[in-house]
Amino acid sequence: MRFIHTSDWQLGKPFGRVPEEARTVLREARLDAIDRLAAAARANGAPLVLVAGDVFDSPEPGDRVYRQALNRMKAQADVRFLLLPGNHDPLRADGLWSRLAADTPANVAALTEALPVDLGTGDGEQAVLLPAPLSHKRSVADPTQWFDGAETPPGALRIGLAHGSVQTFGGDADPNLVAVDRARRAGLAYLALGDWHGRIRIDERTYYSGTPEPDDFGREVTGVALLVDVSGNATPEVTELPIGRHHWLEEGWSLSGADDLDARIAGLAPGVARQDLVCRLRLSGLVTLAERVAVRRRLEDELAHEVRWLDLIADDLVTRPTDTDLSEIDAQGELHTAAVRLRAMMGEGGAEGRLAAQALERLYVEQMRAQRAGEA
Amino acid sequence: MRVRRLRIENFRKFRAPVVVDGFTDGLNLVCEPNETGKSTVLDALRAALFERHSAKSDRIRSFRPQGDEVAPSVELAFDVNGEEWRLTKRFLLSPSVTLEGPEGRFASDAAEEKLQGLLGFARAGNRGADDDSRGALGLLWVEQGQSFLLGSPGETARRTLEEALAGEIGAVTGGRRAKAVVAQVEKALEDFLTPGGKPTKRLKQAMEAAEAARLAATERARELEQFEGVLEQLEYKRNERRRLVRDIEDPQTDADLKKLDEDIARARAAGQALEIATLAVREQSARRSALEERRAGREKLATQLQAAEAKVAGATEAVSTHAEVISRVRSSERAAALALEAARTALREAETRRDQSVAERAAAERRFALAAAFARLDRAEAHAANIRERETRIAASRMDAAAVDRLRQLEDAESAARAQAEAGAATLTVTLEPGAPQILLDGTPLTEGAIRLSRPRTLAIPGVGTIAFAPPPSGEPALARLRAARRDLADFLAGVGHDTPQAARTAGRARAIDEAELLGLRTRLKAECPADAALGIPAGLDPLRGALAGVERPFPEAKDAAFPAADVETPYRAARAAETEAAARREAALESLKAGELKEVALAAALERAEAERARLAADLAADRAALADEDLAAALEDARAAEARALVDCDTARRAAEGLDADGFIRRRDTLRKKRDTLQSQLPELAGAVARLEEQARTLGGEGPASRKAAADEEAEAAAAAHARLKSEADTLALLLKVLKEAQQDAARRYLAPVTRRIEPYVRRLLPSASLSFGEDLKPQLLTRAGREEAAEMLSKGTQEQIAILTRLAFADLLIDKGQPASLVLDDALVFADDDRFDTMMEILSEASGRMQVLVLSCRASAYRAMAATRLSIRPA
Repeated sequence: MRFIHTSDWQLGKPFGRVPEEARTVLREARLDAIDRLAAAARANGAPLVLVAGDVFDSPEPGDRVYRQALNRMKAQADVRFLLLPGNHDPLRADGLWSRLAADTPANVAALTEALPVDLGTGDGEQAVLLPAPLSHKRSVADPTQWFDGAETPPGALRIGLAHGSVQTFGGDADPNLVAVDRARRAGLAYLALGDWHGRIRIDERTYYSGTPEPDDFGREVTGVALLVDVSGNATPEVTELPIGRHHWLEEGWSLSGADDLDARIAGLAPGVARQDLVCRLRLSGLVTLAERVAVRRRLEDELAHEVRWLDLIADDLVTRPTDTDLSEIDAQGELHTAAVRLRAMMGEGGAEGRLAAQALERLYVEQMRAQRAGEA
Repeated sequence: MRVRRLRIENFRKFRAPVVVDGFTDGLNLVCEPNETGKSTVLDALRAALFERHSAKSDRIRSFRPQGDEVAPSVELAFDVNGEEWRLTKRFLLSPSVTLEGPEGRFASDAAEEKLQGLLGFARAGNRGADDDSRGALGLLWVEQGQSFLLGSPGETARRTLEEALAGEIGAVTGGRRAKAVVAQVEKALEDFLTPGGKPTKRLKQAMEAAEAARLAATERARELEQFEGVLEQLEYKRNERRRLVRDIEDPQTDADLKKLDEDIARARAAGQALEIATLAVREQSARRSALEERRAGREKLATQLQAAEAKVAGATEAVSTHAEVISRVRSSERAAALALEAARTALREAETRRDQSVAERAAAERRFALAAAFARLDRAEAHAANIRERETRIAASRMDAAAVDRLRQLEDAESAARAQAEAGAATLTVTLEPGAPQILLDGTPLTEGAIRLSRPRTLAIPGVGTIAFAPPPSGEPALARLRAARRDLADFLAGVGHDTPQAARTAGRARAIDEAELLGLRTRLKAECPADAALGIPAGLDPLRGALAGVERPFPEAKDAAFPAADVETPYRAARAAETEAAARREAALESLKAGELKEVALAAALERAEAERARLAADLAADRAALADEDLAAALEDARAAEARALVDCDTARRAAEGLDADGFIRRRDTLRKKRDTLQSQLPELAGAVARLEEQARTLGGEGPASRKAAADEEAEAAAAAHARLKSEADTLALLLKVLKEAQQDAARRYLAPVTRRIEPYVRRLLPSASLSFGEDLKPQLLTRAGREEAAEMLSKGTQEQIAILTRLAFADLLIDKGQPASLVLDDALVFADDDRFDTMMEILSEASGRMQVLVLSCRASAYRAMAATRLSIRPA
């Protein structure tokens, strides 16, 4: 029995913090993942895609996203999609899933009931799917509890599909908590989980697939789907399939000058096309005014326009204006006086000091601009 | 720079060429009368240096002499840094320029550029040279009427000065670059803040966008909440419908209803049987009780008949007994009537006797009153006659009280006159011897005593003759008064009709007595005529007279003739009492009679009624017995009682059967169940409608994707707020930078102005002792400090302003010369407002300055400059 395990499509994720020009592309890429998943399924001879929850980003994603998603799936008529409600799009009366049940094309099914679903016989072996749809954003009970006692035809493969966390992260009782050893307890051949956006193996029969299209920084492995091959009592064969388009990279650069900047930029996410790179850079270090301006120019005026989105955080890149910096602004005269005064204000620290630092940097930039204009 | 020679042709008033030459390094003076063309010379000099040869502006055209299409041209020879240059410029017609000097010959634009470089001014704009383009030289060359303007130097001139100043303090101001930076920052800031510091343009947009995004997020949240509410409500309504359907379709209800229907039918049948049995009992009871009543009625009738017969007997007895009583009453009534008649007759007689006595007494009283009235009338008449008599006398007498007084006066006057007359007369004392012959005095026998001889008197002594005495004439006036007094007295007496005063006095007294008496008489008269109540006569004599006129005066009778005594009254009262008593007795007898008669009638009627009752009862009893004999009645009653007992037993059986089957209770329970089911069913459509509505609402609202929209709106609001914060930070940055830059500029200005201030100070002190001048950033004289008091330069007098303007330029020129810049000072008709002292001081300063620079003064006031040591130049034909 071969199938594709995926989850957390979160179609319709708004990306409201991302600049307008990148936002649309990032949204569209999530829908594109459906096509890529179908292609991967087809290519690997596994025309069954199990989506372990959070198909949509919200319980009411809106008609546009909803229609687009169904249409994309419908277009892949030879691939069967089984969709599970997750905590982002929980099952509830008259919500999304009620409508979906009426609108789904033949190759798509919504798993809205905690009842075994016959997956038919693949490779001569009968398989039964045990879905654990979530009916609330947060439910205290383990939604997979019923797997243990679920009756299936003798000899049939039992495959679990659920959405939730397998461990608590402190604080209040974690919602939708799935017993970490559910696969063993319920005699599952494989337990396909969703919720965590990174791909994680819990045990040999329990996996999180992670989201097929990355959507945030700080995930270890993301942008993949899992090709699962289960048979009898053998350990399932699980293969990672690259699906995602965008690469979300978060790096912290401690700079001591502008010299190694080009090398760092060149070494950024090797093998990833720049237009597919979403990058958050946290700059830190102690640099001269000239260096800071050079760094910012290189990053803001060049790199930022090359990548999909550059989230540059330069708050910790501390400037220490040198005498050279100041004399570059002007050796003497009014500009020099102003620069010296601003540097003094910087030294006093606080909000006023930070503002003075920015003003000094601006003065430096403006001075250079005036110089260029004068030379031109 | 030093001007050496100037040649002008076809320039304004100079059509023919003129030359001004012989310029020295020091002070040069062109002193010509008005209209000679001094200002034209200065204009030509300026045109040569500053106007582009190719320019065709209005000003250039104005260089042409009036109405001539000629080419104004100027030739200028000058030194710069000890090198000689020669400039030729021709305007409008075949315009040209050449500049020859140690570096060679330049023409056209090259010449213009070289000239600009040499003298440090800018290329003139399209509209010709101006203060800005002329640079420092323009500043130092003061046109007619411009000398006193305390203007700010033009941009070029200022820059030149500033550069000179900057060199002085050994620092570069940053000059053009600093200005550019400030301008850039200002411009950048304009995108964020207004000059007043209010958000504008980008910052304002970002602020508004952030606010709009925030509001949108709130709105989205509200929409989502609404949607969630719809879903919740929908779920609730669905559950309600489910419960409702379950209740409606409950099978227990059906079973209950069926059983209840059967129970009701059973209960109804039992009820009907009981009803029939009850009716039978009622029928039998009625029959039995009817027979019983009939028997009882018959017995009662018999008893009543016996009673009626006894009553008839009693009534007959009562009627006969009463007949005796009433005859007795009748006879006593008759006796009382007779007694009353007698008492009445006696009373009438007593009354008559009493009335007679009263009338007699009244007549006697009247007679007595009349007698008294007549007596009073008699007395009154006497008084009236007396009064009349006295009144007549008073009327006749003239001696009233006034006349008495008058008489006394007249007598007094006569006595006084006589005494006076006699006082002056001789007294003849007569003493007669007894038996002396009768002597006649004026015919009257003489008696002893003294005789006053106040008038001629004659003593006749019979026998002797007469002795005549004549009073002396001196006594005549007294005599005359005496005579007059006597005459008055005699006249008065004649008037009152009396002969002597004595008689008159007597008459006066009599009249007084009469008057006094009269008063008394009248009072008495009035007293005699009072009002007489007994006779009904009012007060007064005349009423009295009238009342008694027709009445006969009664005979005088014994006043004590006795009135009838009280014995008539006593018999009358006794008769009266007897009559009242007799009347009362009669009344009582009548009452008794009447009561007796009434009773008599009543007793007769009662007898009659009792008789009738008895007859009726006897008839009724006889009739009833005739219909049903007594023994037959007893048999029927026995039979009826047996039937009733049987019916009662039957009824009791039926009642026991019906007990425990409450049809109404069953029906109530059945109806309640039905009603409940109906109610539930009636709720179903409404609920279904609500569910459908909510479903539709959920579909519509869900289609808009409220949750997504809210999430997106939240993120966008956050992003917009962040963008706004970024722009705000940038605006703050720029504002701070601009503030710091401006402060730096002001500091710099303060520093580099110091040299100018320092240079002008000695000049100012010479003109205005202990005064000092300070400049603004734009190199414009600003404040004059005199004796610790600050005065705005613009508020100074025109003369002082002009002098300060010239001194400022002198200081600028010094500054430029110190920096090796070409400078020469040209003053056209300056110092026109200066007084003599100031003028001399200014001349001294200029003379000193001319040791450092070339100074050219153009003036029309020859006398003012006469004493001045200067090279005098003239405008002469070439």
